[in-house]
Amino acid sequence: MVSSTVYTAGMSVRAMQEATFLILTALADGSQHGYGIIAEVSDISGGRVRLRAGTLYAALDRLRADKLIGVDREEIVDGRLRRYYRLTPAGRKLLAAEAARLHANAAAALTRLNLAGGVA
Amino acid sequence: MTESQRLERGYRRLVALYPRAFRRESEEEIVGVLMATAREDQQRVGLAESADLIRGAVRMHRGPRLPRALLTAVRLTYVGAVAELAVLIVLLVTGASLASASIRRYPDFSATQWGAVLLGHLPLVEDSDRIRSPVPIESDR
Repeated sequence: MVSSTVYTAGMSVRAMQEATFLILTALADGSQHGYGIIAEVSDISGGRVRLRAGTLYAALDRLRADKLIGVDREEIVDGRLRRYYRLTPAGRKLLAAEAARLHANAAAALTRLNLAGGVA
Repeated sequence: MTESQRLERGYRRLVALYPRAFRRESEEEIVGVLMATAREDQQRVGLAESADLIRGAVRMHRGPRLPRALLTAVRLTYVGAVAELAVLIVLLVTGASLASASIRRYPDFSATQWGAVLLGHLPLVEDSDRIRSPVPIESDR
């Protein structure tokens, strides 16, 4: 259980912001650098979510403070610093819990829609 | 100065708003991302980009997060303020209805006199002569 005032309110886990969810998802199958995360998030969301640098780094700063992500390694490419981020075990656990929660909600919605009106 | 150098300088001016600790560790990194996401022919920082960077700077200046005890204290302060406001409203409402009930009983009183009564400077009696002369009549003798 991750103890954090952002992700938990009392005993229940509060819904995670979509940007945060997508950033963690982008890191789920391997480390990524900042620009890589933006590209992955755009890809995962079908081009709907285009993270800007200010939003991304504010989120990364918070996720690092909460120990949900960590720095994997650093590289210099074309004279620019690239820092690669990866999920920590706590981040992995939190993402899995949030994905299960969203999945259960979506399944309930689809079931009720089918029961109410049949498949369109 | 090339267009890309000018753009980079614009980004750095905004990144300068971020906390020093962040800039020391991540300025080159975020500038790299900003330059990588810029359009090919982009010459200056866009409005939406500026807004996003300023918002990010504000969020980071607010710190990693306040300790829970402090947050609770802040919330309690708000609860206290709301309670005081409620008491004040009750006082004003009851005060107003008391005043209107009294005005019906003493229609000759002016607003100033009512003010004086409320402040306790005038005795609330039905003898209008005494009310109009605040100096006690007994002292004339």
